[in-house]
Amino acid sequence: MALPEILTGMRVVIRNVFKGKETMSYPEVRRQPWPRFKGRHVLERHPDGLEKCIGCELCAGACPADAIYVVGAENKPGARFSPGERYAQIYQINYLRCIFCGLCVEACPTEALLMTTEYEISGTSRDDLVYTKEQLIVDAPIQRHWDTKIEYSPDRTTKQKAGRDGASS
Amino acid sequence: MSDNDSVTLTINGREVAAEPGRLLIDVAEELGVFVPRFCYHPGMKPVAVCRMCLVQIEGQRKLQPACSTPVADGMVVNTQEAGAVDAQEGMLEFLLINHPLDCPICDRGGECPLQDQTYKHGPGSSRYVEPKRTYEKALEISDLVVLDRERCVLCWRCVRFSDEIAGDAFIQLVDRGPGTQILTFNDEPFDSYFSGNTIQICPVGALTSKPYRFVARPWDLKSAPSVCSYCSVGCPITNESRDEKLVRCQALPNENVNDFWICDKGRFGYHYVDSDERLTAPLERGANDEFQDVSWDHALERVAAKLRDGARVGVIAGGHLTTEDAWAIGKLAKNVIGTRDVDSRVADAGAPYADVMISGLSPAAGSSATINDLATARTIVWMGPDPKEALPVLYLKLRGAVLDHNAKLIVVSPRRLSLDGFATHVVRSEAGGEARAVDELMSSPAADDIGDPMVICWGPSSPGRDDAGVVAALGRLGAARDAKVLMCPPHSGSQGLLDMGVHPSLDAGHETAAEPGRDTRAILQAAADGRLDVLLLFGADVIADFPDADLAGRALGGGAHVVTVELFPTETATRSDVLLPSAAFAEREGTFTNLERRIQKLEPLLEAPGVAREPWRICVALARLLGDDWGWHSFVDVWNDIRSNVRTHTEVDIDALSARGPTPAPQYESGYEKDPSHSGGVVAGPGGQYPKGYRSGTPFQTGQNWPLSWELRGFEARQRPGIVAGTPNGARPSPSGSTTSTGSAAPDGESADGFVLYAGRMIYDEGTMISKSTALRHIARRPFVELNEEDAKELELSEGDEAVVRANGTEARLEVRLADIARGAVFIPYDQKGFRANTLTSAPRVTLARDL
Ligand code: SF4
Ligand code: SF4
Ligand code: SF4
Ligand code: SF4
Ligand code: FES
Repeated sequence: MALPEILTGMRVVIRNVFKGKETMSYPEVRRQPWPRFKGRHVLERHPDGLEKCIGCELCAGACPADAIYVVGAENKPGARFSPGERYAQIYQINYLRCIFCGLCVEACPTEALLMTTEYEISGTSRDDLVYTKEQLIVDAPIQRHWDTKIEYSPDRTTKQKAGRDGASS
Repeated sequence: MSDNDSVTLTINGREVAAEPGRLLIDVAEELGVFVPRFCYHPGMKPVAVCRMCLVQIEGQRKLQPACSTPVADGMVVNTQEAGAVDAQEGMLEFLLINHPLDCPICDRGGECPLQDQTYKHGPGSSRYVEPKRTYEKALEISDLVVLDRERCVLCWRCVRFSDEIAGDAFIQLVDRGPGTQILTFNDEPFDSYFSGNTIQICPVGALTSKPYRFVARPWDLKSAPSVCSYCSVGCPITNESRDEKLVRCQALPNENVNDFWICDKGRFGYHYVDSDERLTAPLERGANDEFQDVSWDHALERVAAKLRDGARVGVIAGGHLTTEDAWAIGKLAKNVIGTRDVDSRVADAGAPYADVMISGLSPAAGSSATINDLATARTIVWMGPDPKEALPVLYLKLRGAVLDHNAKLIVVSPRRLSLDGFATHVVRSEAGGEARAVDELMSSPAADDIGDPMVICWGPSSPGRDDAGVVAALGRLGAARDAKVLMCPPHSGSQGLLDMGVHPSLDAGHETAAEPGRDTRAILQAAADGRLDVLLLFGADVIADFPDADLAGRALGGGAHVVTVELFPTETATRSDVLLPSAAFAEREGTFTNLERRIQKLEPLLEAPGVAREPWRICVALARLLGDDWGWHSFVDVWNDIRSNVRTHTEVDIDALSARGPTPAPQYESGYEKDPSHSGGVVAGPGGQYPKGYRSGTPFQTGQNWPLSWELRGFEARQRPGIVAGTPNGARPSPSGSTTSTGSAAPDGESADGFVLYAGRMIYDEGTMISKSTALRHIARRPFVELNEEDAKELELSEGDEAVVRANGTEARLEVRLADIARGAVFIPYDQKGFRANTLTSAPRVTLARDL
C-alpha cells in the first residue's frame, strides 16, 4: 500500500494550506525591508548644507560593476558646493549595472554616500536608470511609481498605513 | 674576482656584477630589488636628503643611502633586514607627521610614490597626535602649476631640476628647520618653459598641473605612447585620455632624445586635439560661397576630377605630418599626378636643407650627428634659432653637454640667445654677416677651443637671410676636421618630409632629383599668376606661416582650385575650395622623424572626430581615383612600401619601434608589486606587469594602459629607443652640384636701407595648434621688436616705446625692447598676440620710426 507514503508527502502541503500567506498584493500592500537592506544610494549633506561628497572618485574606483561615474571640479569663491577644494561636478550611478554590494559606501572617505532601503528602481528607458546627482542628493524626494496603502514592518508583525516615513527607514 | 670594468657585490644574498661607479640604488633596481626613495631621480645628481633609501652595508657602522653610495667590490648589502626596515618605517612615519590627509582630493592620489611606498614600507600607524603644520593650500604659482606646501616632503627634486637641468631657479626652498618650504622667489611666477617636469617628478601631490586639476584619477585613464607633435626634437610622451578626451601628456623617457624631460608646450599644448573647432567632415564650397558638408567619395571625386588631364598642380605640405603621410604625398605628387612642384618648407620656406648634403657636412639632407653626440663632443658650434624658444629640450641637452660634459660651445648669432649664459664663446656677428663670422671663427679667440669631435648645429634662421651662405661656410669649417652636423628643421614632421622627398630637388632617400621642381615660393607665385590649376595643401597654413603673407593671399586668390587637408578651418583653409579633415597625432598610428632622423612611433589613443582621416589615406584614395591602386590599408602596408623603395629606410624594423627594449630581470623583491606569495600576484617593474587595479595592461597595446609607472626610472629610458634612419650609401653629391633651394635668400647689400630683419619663433605663439590649446593660448606675449641700444638712440626710441615697423608697404606698431643685438639688425617674434610677423618678413629689411 502506498497510502502512508502519499500522506507523508502531502504533509508539507497540508501544513502550508493553513499557514498565513507570504505573498501580498504589491504595490498596494508592501513590506518594509530590514533597516540594513542595501537599496539605492543617497548623497548626504553636511549640517550647513554643503555636500559631503568631494568628487574623489574613490567610490567609482571601488565599484566592481563600474556603475559610478564621477567628474570632479574645483570649488571657486562664489560657487562652493563642498568644503575644501574639490567637489563632484557630475555624479551618476547607473542602476542597470549596480549590484548593490555596498563597496562604494565603504570606500567613501567622507561618508557622503549611503544606501537607503529603497528598492523600487525601475524605468522605461536606460537613461531613466542612470541616476544623476540631482536625484541622488539626500534632499531630493524619493519617488515611487505607485501608491502604497498598507505597509508591513520587516518582520510583518506590525501593519501600518503607508506614507508616513516612506521606505527610508 | 673582478677586472677593471666590473665589480661584484652581494645584494640581499644575490651576487651581481656591476660597472664600478654606478649607484647602489640603480644596480639593486636592475637586480629586482627596489629600494624606496624620494629624492633620487635617475635624471639628476643624487643629493641624499630624504634618507628613505637607507640600506645596511656589512662592515659599515651606520646605514648608508643607496642613492649616493657607489658600488664597490665585495660589498654585502641588505635592504630587508631589521635595521633597514626600521629606517624605512621611521622615515615614513616622520614624513607623514605633517602630511595632510588629502589623498581623496589630491591629483597624485592613485599614482603617488608616497602612498605606494607607505603602503609597502610604512609603519601602518602613527604615534603623532598633535595638530599638523598647515599652510595656505593650492597656491597657483604660475598659469600651469599649483603648489600645495603641506604635501611637500622636501625632496628637492623640483629645486634641483630647475637649477641643474633647466637652469632657471624659479622655485626654491625657503626658510629653515620645521618651517622649510618650497616657494617661488618673492612670489614671482614659476615662469619656466620646463615647469611641467617638476609636476611629473614631484613624488607627492605638492606640485600639480593646473590644466589637469581634478580632471581625472589615474584609474580613469587610458594611455598610449606617442611623440610630441610640436618641434623637431620629437620628445616621446604618453597621451592619456578620459572619456575619449585627451586630458594629459607626460614625458616618456628616452635616454637618446629627451632623457626624462619635455617642455611645457609639449606637455600642456594638447587641448587642440579635442577642440570643438576641429574639422569633422569634408567640406566643399558651394554655389553661394558657403561650405557644405559632403561625403568623402564626393569630395575626393571632385578633387580627382580637377587633378586629371594634365592639370598643373602644386603641392605644399606643412611640417606636422608623419613620415607615412610624407611618403604618400611625395608618391602622389611625383608618381601619380606627375608634378615635381612639391615642397614641405612653409615657415622655413627656402631653407637650404639640401645644401647640408651638398656642402659635405652630412651624407643626407639631415643630421649626421645624434643628439647624444653633443655630450661626447669637444666642440659644439651653434648657428641657428634660439633653441630654448624653438627646440626647448635640445636646449636642455646643449646645456647638459656644456655643464656636465665639458663640451666647448661656440655660439654664432647676431643677437643674444639663451645659450649665451653658458657658452664658452659668443661670436656676435654683424647684421646679415653670419656666414662671414663662421668663416672667421678659425682666426678668432674661439679657435683655441675648436677641437674634435665637433658637432655643428645648424637650423634655418629667418626668412630672407643668407642661409645657403651660412651652410656653405659651416661646410668649410667642418671639412677640415672630424665634424658632424645636427640639422634642426623646425617641426615634428619636417625631417620625415625631407627623408621622403617632399622637396623640389630631393627624392625620397636623399637622392638629388634630375629635374628640380618649384619650391614653396615659386609654387605660390605660380598660383598667384594664374599658372596653376590645383593647389594641394596638406596641413600647410600658408597665409599664417609662409614668410610672405601677401603672396600667400594672392596665391589663394589666383584662380587655382585650392584643396586643403587640415585639422582646423584655418585662414588658408577657409579660403580653399575643398577642405578635407585630418586626424591629429593622438588619433593615429604613425611615426615622426626627429631632427637626428630618429624614427619614433605614435600609437593611436582616440578616435578621430567625425570622419576625419589620416592624410596618407586621403592620398591613397586620390591615387586610386586617378588610376593607381597602391593597395595600402594599414600603417604596415605603408612601411612595406617605404622599405622597398626608400634606400635610407630599408633597414627600419617597424615592429622594433613598438617593442619593449631589453630590460633587466623582472623579479622584484620589494617595491610596488603584490606580495609574491599571493596567488596570481603579478610583478611590477621591467618586463613585468603592474598589479591588477594599478594601471594594468599589456605594454604597447593600443588603448591599453601604458604601464608608465609614475616614478620614472632608469630602465624606462631604454624602453623605446626609436630607430635612426640610415644614410644614403652612395657617394656624396659633389659640392659643385647645383643648389636649387636658395629661395629668397639674397645677400644683403651694404647699401640697402633700413634694418636687417630677423624673425624667430617663441615657444608660445598664436600658431594654429597652440591657439586652440586652452592651457597655453593666454601665455603668448605682446609682440615686440628688439633693437640695439645705439640704433635706438639714433631713432630716439627707448625701451617700452612703440615703434612703427615698415616693410614693403605694410606696417606694424611694436613695443621696443633694447637688447644685445648687432647694430643694424632688429628681431621680431612670430605670431605674438594679434601680430602676424609674416606681414613684415616678405622684405629682408625693415625701417623703424618713432610712433608719433
Ligand atoms: S553598490 Fe556596489 S555595484 Fe553598486 S555602485 Fe556601489 S560599488 Fe558599485
Ligand atoms: S561619494 Fe564619496 S567616494 Fe564617491 S566621489 Fe563622493 S566623496 Fe568620493
Ligand atoms: S614640491 Fe615636490 S618635488 Fe619639490 S621638494 Fe616638495 S615634494 Fe619634492
Ligand atoms: S622640445 Fe619640442 S618635441 Fe620636446 S616637448 Fe617641447 S615642443 Fe615637444
Ligand atoms: S636619500 Fe636616497 S633617495 Fe633620498
